[in-house]
Amino acid sequence: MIIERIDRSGHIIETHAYNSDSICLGRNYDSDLIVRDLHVDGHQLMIKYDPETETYTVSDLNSTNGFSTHGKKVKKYKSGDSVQLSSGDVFSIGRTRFKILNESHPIPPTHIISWYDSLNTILSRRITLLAILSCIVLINVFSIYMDSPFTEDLFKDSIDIIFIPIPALIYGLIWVFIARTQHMESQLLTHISVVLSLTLIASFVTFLNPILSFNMPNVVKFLNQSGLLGSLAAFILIYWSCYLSTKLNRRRRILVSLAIPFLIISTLLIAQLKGREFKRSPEYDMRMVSTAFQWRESESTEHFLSKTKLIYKEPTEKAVERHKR
Amino acid sequence: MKLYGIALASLLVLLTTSTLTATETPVSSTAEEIIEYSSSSIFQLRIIDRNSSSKQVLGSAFIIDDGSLLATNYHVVSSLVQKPEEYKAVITIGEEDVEFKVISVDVIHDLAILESLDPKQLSKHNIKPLELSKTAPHKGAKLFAIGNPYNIGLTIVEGNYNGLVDNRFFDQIHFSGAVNSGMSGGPTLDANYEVVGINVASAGNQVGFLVPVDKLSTLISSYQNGDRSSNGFEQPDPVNGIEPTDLQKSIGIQLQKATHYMIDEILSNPWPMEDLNQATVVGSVHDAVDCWGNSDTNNKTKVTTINKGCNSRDNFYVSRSLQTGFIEYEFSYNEAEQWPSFSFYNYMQNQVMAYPANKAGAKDVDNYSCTESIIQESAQTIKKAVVYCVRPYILYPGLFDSFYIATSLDKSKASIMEHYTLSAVSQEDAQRFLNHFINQVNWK
Repeated sequence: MIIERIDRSGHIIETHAYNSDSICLGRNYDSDLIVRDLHVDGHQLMIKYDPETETYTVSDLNSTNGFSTHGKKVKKYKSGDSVQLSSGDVFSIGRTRFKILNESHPIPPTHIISWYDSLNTILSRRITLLAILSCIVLINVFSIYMDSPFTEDLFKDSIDIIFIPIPALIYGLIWVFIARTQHMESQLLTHISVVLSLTLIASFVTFLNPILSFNMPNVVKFLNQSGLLGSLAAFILIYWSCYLSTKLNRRRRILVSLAIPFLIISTLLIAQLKGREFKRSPEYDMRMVSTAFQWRESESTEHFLSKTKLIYKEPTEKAVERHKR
Repeated sequence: MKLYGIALASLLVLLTTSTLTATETPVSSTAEEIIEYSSSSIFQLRIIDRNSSSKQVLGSAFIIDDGSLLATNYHVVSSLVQKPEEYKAVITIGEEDVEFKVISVDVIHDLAILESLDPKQLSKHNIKPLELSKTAPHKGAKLFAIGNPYNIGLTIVEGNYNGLVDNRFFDQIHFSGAVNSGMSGGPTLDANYEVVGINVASAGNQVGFLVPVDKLSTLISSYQNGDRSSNGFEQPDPVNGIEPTDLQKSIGIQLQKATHYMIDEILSNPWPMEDLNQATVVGSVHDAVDCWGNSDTNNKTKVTTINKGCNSRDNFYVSRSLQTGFIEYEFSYNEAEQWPSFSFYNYMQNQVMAYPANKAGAKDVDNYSCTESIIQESAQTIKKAVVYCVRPYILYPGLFDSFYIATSLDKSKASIMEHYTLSAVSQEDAQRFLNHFINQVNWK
């Protein structure tokens, strides 16, 4: 006979296996299963297994509060009542819940250790964290140098890099705390490494930005305006943390992780719908990159001139409204 | 220079109470005669906000023609032209306030003529009009600028005629006398008691500017002949229920005509090309376009920068928020021999920027729309990133501000930036200028 103590959402807290077909539950130390719940009597419940019918007879031993079963509906039993349960049924005494099972009860299929579990193992190592941090420092110092090779402020500008791990640490602590509330073990280092890996990717993309935006101006413009990259990063980050720190199933994890991208994209959409405010200067990007990285085709002056004819437009309704006000 | 112009215009409109030099200079006997002759024809013109019943602008004005018309500067009455329902123009004759309306303006030369709302009220005062001179004075001739500075009373300033200001698209008289704040719109008379100019601006000590009186004669005669023809210049119908007044329509056409004339003038001569280190750029394209330059080698960052900028000196005051008609262009050569090429371009990407030169507010123009590209005609010519932007005027349909910026992409450690702004131009004129300008800059 197997008895599992579970929580309200069905997560298993502890599992007890018994060879005998009859056990007693209660707060007394001579009970077969000692229940540390002040709403439970010394000897509260007796469970007997009948191998022929494969059923369990649960009988109350004249307890103070009786017991309940949790099938589709909750059913209360008074002191001295008894009821028949079968494998997989849930009952509660006091404020504690149990699930009763026999040895042949089917178990869920074995989870395969996925690539991200092994990735998480790697990320939880101190050496990994150190490697990621070094890469961040290197790429940031290098881009500061590349932005202005003869600056005297290289050290001063670089000093800001030491602030990068602080938000990562706070983020990690929050998720470790969340994991605690879910009775899960979750490593601080893994969370920090996840945040820093994303930071590293972001630094790298920023470094490559001149090349990307010169050669694919429309793609980069679209990504910037839609907030897609930020949304994707937020999604990955929160999904990952949910995976590490909560017992949510995949669908719920996706739903939770979509919250921030939804916020980002809706804010940008609302801003787009409102239209542009009046700007005294034109909004343009002068895209330049050194000759070695210029892969974009250039066009003839004539072709460009024909494009310029298309931008002469009447004032927009919004501008006219502004004028009338 | 252009900033100076804006500052000047706003200074005159704001009517700061500056010390009057006229009271300090000894008044000659002729000046006494002049003021005695003309003082009854010259008034302080007050632009009054109808809601608050308080003064918004103070200027000077004088009676001309048959005694029914009042002449002043356009910038004095600009708020009345832009928002006729919110302001009124008033002069005090004796004890009586007489209200005027603007009947015709010349925004390019900064002139306006006004007519009394009640002609009988004006005619009973029987004010003697000032005569307009038909000939230009001789250089050095003695002139008397008269006006009504704020709360000080009629002032006469003696000075000399110095001919027309050099190198302008549109004529102005250089008067060597202090034209003080608030004298705007007042007349300047010669020794024959005839008006030779209208006080318009000052450039500090004893340097004053006058509108030549023939511009006023032209404005009056074309108004009286009912000649409001636009000489082939047309503005499209305005959009979305904006209905400009006839005066506003004429301002749109005047601006378009003026910038058309300027661009015609500029494009009629071959452009002088000048060296800017490894590049050749455009020099002064017209006598009325002034060029300036500077260069700097930063010993710390090891970047050499050479700048050259040119602009026209003329600018048109349309309203407090809109000053337009500028033409300006500039070039900036940057070189960093010791830098990695990748860094140099990163740095340049943040350095290359330009702003529109003219002042226009949210109620005057819409946002810029831009188009950009990478252009190169052949392997031998310069390769550059170009951005071209235009914004439409709201009240003057068919007029645009145009903005061009380009920067070379083909040298590994040097680049040349080019930029220009045109303001209040038609699409046709903007494209004519762009077509010419875009092919000018090249490597030596």
